[in-house]
Amino acid sequence: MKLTGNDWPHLRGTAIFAAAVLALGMAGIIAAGQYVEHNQQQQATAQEQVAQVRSRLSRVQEERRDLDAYYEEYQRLVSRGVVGDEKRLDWIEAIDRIREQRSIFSTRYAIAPQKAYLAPAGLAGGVNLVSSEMTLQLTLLHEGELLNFFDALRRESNGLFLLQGCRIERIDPTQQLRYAPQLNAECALEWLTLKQPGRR
Amino acid sequence: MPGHCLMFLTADRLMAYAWHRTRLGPEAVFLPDEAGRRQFGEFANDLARHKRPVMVLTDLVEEDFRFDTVPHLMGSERSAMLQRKLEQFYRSTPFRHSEFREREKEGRRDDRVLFSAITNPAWVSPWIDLLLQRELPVRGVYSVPLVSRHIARMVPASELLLLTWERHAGLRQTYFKGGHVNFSRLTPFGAGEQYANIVVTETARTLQYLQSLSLLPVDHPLHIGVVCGSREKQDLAVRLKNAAQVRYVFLDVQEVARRVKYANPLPDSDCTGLLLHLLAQSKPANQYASEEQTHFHSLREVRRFARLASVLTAAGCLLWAGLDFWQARSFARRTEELNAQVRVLENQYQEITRTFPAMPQSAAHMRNVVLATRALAASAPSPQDVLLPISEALSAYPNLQVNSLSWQVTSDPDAVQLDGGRVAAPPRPAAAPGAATAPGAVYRVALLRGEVRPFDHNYRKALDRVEALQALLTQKGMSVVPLELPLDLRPQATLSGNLDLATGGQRATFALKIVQSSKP
Repeated sequence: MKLTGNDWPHLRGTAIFAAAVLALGMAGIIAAGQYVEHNQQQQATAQEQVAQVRSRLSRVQEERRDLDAYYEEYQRLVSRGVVGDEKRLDWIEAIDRIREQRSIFSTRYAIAPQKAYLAPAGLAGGVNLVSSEMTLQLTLLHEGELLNFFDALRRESNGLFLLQGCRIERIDPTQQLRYAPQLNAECALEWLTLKQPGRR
Repeated sequence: MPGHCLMFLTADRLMAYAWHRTRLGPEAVFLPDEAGRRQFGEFANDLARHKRPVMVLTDLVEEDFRFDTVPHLMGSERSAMLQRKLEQFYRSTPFRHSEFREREKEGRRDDRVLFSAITNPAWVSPWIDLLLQRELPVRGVYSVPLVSRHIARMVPASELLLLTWERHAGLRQTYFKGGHVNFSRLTPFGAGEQYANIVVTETARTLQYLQSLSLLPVDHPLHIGVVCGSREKQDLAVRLKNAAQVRYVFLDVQEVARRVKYANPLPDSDCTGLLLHLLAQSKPANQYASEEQTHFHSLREVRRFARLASVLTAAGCLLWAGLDFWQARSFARRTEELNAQVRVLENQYQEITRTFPAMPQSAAHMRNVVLATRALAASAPSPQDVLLPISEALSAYPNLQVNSLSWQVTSDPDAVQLDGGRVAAPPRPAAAPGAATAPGAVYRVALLRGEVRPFDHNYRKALDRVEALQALLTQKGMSVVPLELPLDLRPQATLSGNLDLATGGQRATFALKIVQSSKP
């Protein structure tokens, strides 16, 4: 069959119909595609929101667990002065008080300027620490007084100290007096303070 | 909406019928004169208004059949060759047709083709022209022999002479070989002639003709199928007897109608309606109409195809869109579920944060501070940790007196110099393990200085006691390195003494480096 220009009037209606129907179909596809895309984006956004909220919830649950586990102990550290500003006067007063209570013959101390504390690996846990080194010189009747002194200091002082070492020397091995000083002890302590970061 | 219009064209009239599935409805009859053609023109106008397709079935005497062989060609060459043949055989008529029959088995294996034509176009052209003037879609022009092959197939014979009667045309005899038309002839009825008489006369004449052409089968009788009504069948059965060369098969027109699902009543042997029904039902390809005459029908088919294709495409598009829509709805439902989940999680979040105290620092910082404090406190030993194990060991040796004890916490015990004292090599192989450092370990390194009191000038005994202390400390898990012994017995050392002095002024001093380890 050969088509000529004269046939156009016979085919015009069909062509218009076909174009209209195809346009309708294409419009349907485009509209549905846009609808799908829109809803897909909405779903992706909702999924993202779920992930975000879930992550926030997970963090806040972890915070809740941390608070349950550590809040009270942290508050005690704050009230003891371990967290915050250094309390040198409290330390000296505590040493003096123990000296009087224990009737220690002689007590001398020296506190070095505060410096950053480099904790052994894995111990500081990202906490910003400073330390002040104290040298204590004690004259004692026997070794047990040294032990008791540090027990009391640990118990009564406002602060956290690490005993780094001691040197104990017998004053005179030949001396036979019962209540005379027997030992000289020199101990090194690190008073640690945890710096408060900015308020959150 | 009216369906196809079927036209039955004979030499003296044109009858129009409306066909719908199983029934034919007569619409009009037109005579081949001026008045008839005018009426037909008006009828065609009505057909044009309803855009009804037309099929024309001719039953004319002037129809010629002839066989010829042509070279076996394909494609356009074959079409051109057949067209040339038709032009050669039937130059004076546009109503011509060619049909492949078989391929010769020998020689060039040419094609055997049946050429046929309505040799007098004046019977057909005026009607067709009127239809084309109104741009009516003429599906095709057909002849009765072509359509009657559907009836011929009901007789199981390789050669068959089929007789049908069309009331306004006459007796049609068509010779089929292998199911295909070989030739056909129409005998018009005269006034008052009886169907049975004509059948008997014309059958004998045709048999004579076939015999003269040596077309009668030699090894079996020729079947002659006669389509007739039940009344005519009785009469014909009496008058037409089977013989060696012929065998008559009477096909009851009612039975044939039933088999081809034609529902119109058939009161006599007239096959006109039956043949028109077969034509409409089988819708064969055009036979005699030229391409120009079927042009509007072709346009109609193009329109139909285009509409169908566009509707199917649009339906496909809409189906696609529907699937998209369904998918979008499932996305929307999932989004609603997720939003509900967000609300639940937000509520849980709010519930938890509502119970938080006012905090200057984050909970994580608090945890880090507490854990760091605990770890640091645990890493620093108390004096008891250092002194008690050493004191316990010393209590077993009361005549070993401690003069000084110093200790230090370190992670590298080898680097410790507690009092700057020299490190003496042990006088005997050391029993204590080396203080190999382990990563993360914290060590308490102590330096014990003492002397054997009272010292009776017996160095062997003094050495034994110091070594016994060393062994006991080692047994308690400490690493002990002797830095100084009562007597330096190393071969590389200078050893001197005063054996004249039995007592007094002689001291048996010793120094031990003791390393205790503990994990932080």
